[in-house]
Amino acid sequence: MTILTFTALVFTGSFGAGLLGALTGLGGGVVLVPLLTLGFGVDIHYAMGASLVSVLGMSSGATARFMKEGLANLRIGMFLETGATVGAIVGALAASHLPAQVLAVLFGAVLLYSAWTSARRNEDTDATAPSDALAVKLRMEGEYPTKSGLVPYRAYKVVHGWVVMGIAGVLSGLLGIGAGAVKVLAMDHFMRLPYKVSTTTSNFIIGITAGASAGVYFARGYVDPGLTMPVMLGVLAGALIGSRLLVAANSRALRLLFSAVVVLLGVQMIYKGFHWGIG
Amino acid sequence: MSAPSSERMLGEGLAARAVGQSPVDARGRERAMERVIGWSMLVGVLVAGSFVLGGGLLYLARHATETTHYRVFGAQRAEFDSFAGALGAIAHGSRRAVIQVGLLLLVVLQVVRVLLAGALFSRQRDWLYVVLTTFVLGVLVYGFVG
Repeated sequence: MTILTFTALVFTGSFGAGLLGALTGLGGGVVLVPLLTLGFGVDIHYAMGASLVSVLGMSSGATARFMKEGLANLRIGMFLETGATVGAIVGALAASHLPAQVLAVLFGAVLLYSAWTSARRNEDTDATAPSDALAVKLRMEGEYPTKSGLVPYRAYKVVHGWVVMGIAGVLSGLLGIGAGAVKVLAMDHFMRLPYKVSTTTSNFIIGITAGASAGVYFARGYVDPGLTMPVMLGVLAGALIGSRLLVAANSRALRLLFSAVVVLLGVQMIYKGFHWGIG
Repeated sequence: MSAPSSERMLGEGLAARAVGQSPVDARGRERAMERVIGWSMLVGVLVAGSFVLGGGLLYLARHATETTHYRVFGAQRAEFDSFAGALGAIAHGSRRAVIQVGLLLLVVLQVVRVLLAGALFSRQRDWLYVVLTTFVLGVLVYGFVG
């Protein structure tokens, strides 16, 4: 394949991933690596590098968009990042010691998990009990704007959230993804933050986590400019357009469809990892 | 625990957050700083994206008809790993290095985000979070140069 054809196809594929990722709230990054390895035969290390750098772009773009709405909780975000950034460096250093087959299988498992959380995502839990003492001490409570004015919220299970974010950081560094689904587990499930607060806070910090492992990726030669260029531009353009269409199209059917695609990719990654390996 | 008592605890949490300022004032300043973060990210992504797009077009103009080489991993030349290296490569006519400068800028943008969050906390005299932010900044910088 010539570089021009390859670049055009990869741009189109990444654009679709960004669009669907934003429309379904699942994030486009998680399908980039399977798209590049399974679809285009790219070595998994190059695919991880392109994906990780795209996460930096998407997180920055999303932060630019959501910051003015006052939804993200910077204190919670920064507290969780103390664990996640360390995890990310550990993960990135470990990535080069693991064979591609192991990475592929692990990646498949993360894909399956992401699809599962997306399919069963429910509404905000009723959080009327007082916050954990540690959350109060760390001034994590806040208010967020809704149609009916500012609504206060609380925070729970801070330590659980911190540990899970550390794991999310390891996965991010290990696989070159944002690990958004794991961050949802930390902030929605354990800390019981309102959905909008956890999503915007997650957008704010995902890039910081990825930034911690980016240095290792650059130094190891995972980031190839010729490949990363169409991936980063495509997924960013797709996510920007997708987030504008979000209100109109956030249907359950679309999310289930995308989850099904993610499951298929996950199974295929695991299968390839066990049988031939990738790259 | 009864509802009034949980309301009281939440009230205390919000008051503590404002550390010595009136809550409305603190919230207003925080929002203003958050807008600064938002704008910086927008400008940063546009600048980085311009390098990537511009470098990409230059790269395609020269190499469009060559074949791809991504199937097998071979770590690329070390000159692309740092700003100094990438800028040096541009000086030697490398068009891929123009893209790489844009990609490296995206990493710098994460450092800027942490720095601005740190500035927000220090303006609120929230020293606990200034310390936490400094730690995160240290890890980021270590990851990049360490």
